[in-house]
Amino acid sequence: MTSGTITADTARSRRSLLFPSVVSGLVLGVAGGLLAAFAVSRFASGDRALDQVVVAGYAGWTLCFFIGVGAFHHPVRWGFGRAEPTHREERELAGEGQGAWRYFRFTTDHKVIGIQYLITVLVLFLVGGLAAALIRLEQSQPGARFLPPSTYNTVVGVHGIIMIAATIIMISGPFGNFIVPIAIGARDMAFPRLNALSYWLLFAAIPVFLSTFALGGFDTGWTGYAPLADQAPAGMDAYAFTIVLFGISVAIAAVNIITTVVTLRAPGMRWSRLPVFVWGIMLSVLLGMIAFPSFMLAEVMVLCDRVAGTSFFVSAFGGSQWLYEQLFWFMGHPEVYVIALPSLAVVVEMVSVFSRKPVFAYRTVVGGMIGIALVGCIVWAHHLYTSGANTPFDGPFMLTTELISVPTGVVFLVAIGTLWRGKIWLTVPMLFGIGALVNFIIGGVTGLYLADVPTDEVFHGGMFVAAHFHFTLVGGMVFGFFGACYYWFPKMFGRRLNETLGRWHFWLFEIGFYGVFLPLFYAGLHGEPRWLAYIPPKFAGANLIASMFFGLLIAGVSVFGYNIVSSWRSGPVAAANEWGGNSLEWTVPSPVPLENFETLPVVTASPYDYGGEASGPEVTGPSGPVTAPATEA
Amino acid sequence: MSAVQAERHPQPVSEEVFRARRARVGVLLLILADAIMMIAAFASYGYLKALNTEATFRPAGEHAPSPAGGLVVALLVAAGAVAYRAMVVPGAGTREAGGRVRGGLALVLGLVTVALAVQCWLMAAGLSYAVPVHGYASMVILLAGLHLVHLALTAVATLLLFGRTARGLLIGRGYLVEAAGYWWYYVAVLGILVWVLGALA
Repeated sequence: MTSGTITADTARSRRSLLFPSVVSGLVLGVAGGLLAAFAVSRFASGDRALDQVVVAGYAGWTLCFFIGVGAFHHPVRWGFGRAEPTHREERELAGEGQGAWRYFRFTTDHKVIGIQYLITVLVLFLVGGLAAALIRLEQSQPGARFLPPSTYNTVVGVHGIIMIAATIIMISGPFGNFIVPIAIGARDMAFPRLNALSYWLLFAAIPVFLSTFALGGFDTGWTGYAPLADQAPAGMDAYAFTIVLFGISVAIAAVNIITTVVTLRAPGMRWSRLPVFVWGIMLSVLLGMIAFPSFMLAEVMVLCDRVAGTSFFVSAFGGSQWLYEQLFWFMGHPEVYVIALPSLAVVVEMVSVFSRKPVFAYRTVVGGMIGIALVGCIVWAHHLYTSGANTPFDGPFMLTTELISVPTGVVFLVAIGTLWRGKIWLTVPMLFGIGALVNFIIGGVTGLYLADVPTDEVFHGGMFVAAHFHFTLVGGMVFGFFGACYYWFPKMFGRRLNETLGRWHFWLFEIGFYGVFLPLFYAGLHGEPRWLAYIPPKFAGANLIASMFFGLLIAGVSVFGYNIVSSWRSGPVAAANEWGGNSLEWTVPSPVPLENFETLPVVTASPYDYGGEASGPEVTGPSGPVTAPATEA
Repeated sequence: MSAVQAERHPQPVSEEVFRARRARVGVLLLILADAIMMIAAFASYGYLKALNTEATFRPAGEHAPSPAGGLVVALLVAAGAVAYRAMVVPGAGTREAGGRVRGGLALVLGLVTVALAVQCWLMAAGLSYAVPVHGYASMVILLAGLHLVHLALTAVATLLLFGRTARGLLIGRGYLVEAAGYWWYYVAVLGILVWVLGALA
């Protein structure tokens, strides 16, 4: 029986491939959604009827999608007294012998789920990127040229929330799932079924969110601020329901990843030997687990306001819009570190490998990341300086927000210290790693002005903020994601990405990125407000330049997409240890077999022990021969 | 020096020890995630009450939820948690204690089902506030609804455990009962907090 071949040799097992699968999930989900909507429409009345019908439809869709995709199979059979699944059944559930079809089923193998996440993230980036293109198109000239204002508002909201969701999962989803279990010496995640559930929750949320276009969209922007959220068209229900699904998905994924790292480390994999990347992922999902419930709760409240007539955010009836802002930003700012921690960890990981040097001050960088996670929980209210709340906590929050630059600076110091006097191999992942460091410094420094109450009063509503957070999220973190893609692609797919195309991707994206956002800094400093469909004529020049440079971003991403597809189909076969790394993922074959290790490894040293006599091999060049690192006798 | 040495090596810990540790850590993390949401809900209540926007958070005459009904739910769940600890956890997973564990699970399943039914009734009959629902009543409905979800999840988890125990399939899997117990105790504490909040408000 060969991999990639569907082994089912009877009609029954062929049917079992279709049910459960994403096909049966979609069919049942749509049927369930329509049925639930129809049932509720019989009773719904008044001005909330549409919202009630829509939310019932989403609930029906979600429940029936999960029945169809097979998420309840095991728990129900388990509860009704079925014996524990055998090892063979577990391997079947992990997709053994199902070829590409395993990517369309409730498959439990962490590597399959990692690739499912990766493809989903790329699709989300594509959709969010198209929305960004529409925004830049609209902003290229003063006046409403291409989109009506309400559509423009929806496009901005869609761009924002899709990109935020995508960046939250862009590293911890694909690489956290694929790499972390191997990097700690485990055969799979602690809870493989929960792992699949967290992915399919995300999948189920996407059609819900996209249905907003059919329901009038939402004009609140990506933050979904109340009380506007209470008054928005039914498309707002899509936003709120999506966040609830996404929040559950994030919580489940966090529980799974943390439990995996805590309980499944290989013998000898002490906390002090844990790769920095694993630390970054674990702290990121822990922070997400702490931060996300408040946002989820806020959206439950929005749904209650819209569907049941409650008044959480209606001032006239004892609610408050500030409650929404508090709950939202308790998620909203830590979320930046949820995104940043894995990205910074990837950068540190790559810098060590490509400098052929141990991580400079390993404990310090771990401490720095823990510091970011801790302080990240107490900075949110700086987003409310200009809300009118005028709380006595503005001062303390200013302090904590500035304080977080200390642990962040420590991580940067460690990355630079690792580069210092290293034998630097400037590969494509390394290029993106260095790019991320440079860009993130600009994002971080401009953030200081927004942490201070006096300067934030001036900048808060302006394009300066938009440029700042794009430098942070895209320049810092998405560059880390690109680096991770180039770094681990050979491990994930067993093929090498094209080096030349990778360099084109980097330079097109880097130049395009600066071309888009430096003019927006300029426009912001000169007073251009954000959230405007009609740009004032005095900012037309800066916006036109930004829109023109956006073409380079499109070109860079297109090169990346082409590189992925062509290399995946016909790229050169990658070596098991493509970069001469010392961490565990480089000791297993590429592509990685089911259950990862034939025999569980025993870890005897740090993954960053480069430079000693028995260090890994000299690497001769990007395509040169790379052998596995030396192992202890 | 290299980082790893791939050699034949036995499983680091026994499968049972690993499974027990995994179940414990997993349930405790789930409780942590849920507890943070509940803390956010309680904090929201305090925030809106403190702001009392335009003195409309709780208009005069806005009735509180029935303290007696809430007390019944809290007592049922607390009794369930005590029974779970006393009858189900000791000896769970052993053949000898099978009868007691089954009986205990049947009892706590009954208790949580009754609590669920009472909570549903309270929400349907006792929380009928006129629309637009003011801030206070909104928070009461939210907390009652969240508690209802907790009770439902507890009932489902207990039902699954009962189904397995009834067929003797939890022999050697006492850690599952222990881990599910953490959730039981958590929901019991939550029930008391929700009731205290309702009664004191």
